[in-house]
Amino acid sequence: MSSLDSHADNPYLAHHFETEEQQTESCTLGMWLFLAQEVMFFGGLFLAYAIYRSLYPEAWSAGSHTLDVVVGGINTVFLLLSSFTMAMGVYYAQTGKQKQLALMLLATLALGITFVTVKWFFEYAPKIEAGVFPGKLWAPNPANHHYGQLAFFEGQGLQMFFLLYFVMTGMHALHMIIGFGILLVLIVMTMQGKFHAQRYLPILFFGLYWHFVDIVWVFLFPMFYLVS
Amino acid sequence: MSEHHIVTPKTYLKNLAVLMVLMALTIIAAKWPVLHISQTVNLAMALTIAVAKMMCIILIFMHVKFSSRLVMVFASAGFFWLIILLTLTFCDYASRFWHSPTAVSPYLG
Repeated sequence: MSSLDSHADNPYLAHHFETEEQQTESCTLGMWLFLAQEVMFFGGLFLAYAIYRSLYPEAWSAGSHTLDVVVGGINTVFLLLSSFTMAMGVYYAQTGKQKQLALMLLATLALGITFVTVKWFFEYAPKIEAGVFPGKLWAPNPANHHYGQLAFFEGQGLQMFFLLYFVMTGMHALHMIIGFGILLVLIVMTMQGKFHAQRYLPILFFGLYWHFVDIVWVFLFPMFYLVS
Repeated sequence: MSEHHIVTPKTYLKNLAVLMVLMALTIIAAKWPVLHISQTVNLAMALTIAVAKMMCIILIFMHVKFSSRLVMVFASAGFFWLIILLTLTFCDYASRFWHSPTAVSPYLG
């Protein structure tokens, strides 16, 4: 009966856990297991990238030179900043400062939306318009001053470069968009006062997810934008 | 949950500064002609910086530095699997043409 009594003292301890430390540790391990699965998912894509890059180095160089390092670099800054605001959100959740927590989550959401917006308007849309999209739509327009050079590229594997570019950055963007939905729910819950120093694990674990998405971009940026 | 380590804003801010410096470094290493040594060396430089950034994010932002050994093992597991995946696949691609005395492997340069 003594363990039941300790649960009565703490409404935030689930009945199947003995102590708070055990609950935190178990949930943290579960979240990392999910992230290990995410590493395996993106790992398959990184493997495909490595194989085709070793097969078609010229195509990789030609394709990479049409990507805008400035736009990619600015977006990297937005994403690193959003990881910082998310980490600060975890700090304010742990110290029970709800107003600051809501502000940090909002800042994370705003930076994330900026990233995806820049990605669409400065990267995806101009490429699709110029015919730089693998598959049936592939028809680089020679008149385009930025992507026109690709129409004269004789080597193989250029479509493979752009296929992996769209799939890998697209899956990354999809992860961010899923994150926006979760962030919105967390912001509403924060404003309802549901998170405080005794209950902040949802914030902590969403933070882990958000930082993981940041790590994926840390590799995508040099692999696509900075091929020599 | 009060047992969970609370990382201070100062630590987060320092980590952000290091990440920004590393991001600047990766662009300089790729775009400054003086540092164009060879494709392999430049790829190695880019990946080394990316791994350094990843470690900053995992250890500080994701609290692994302040977590239990078991969490560290779980955090490493996915990446350990990734190393096996890449190593075994590239062993296969690199050795596919070894049986033929004339054919030159199209893989790995």
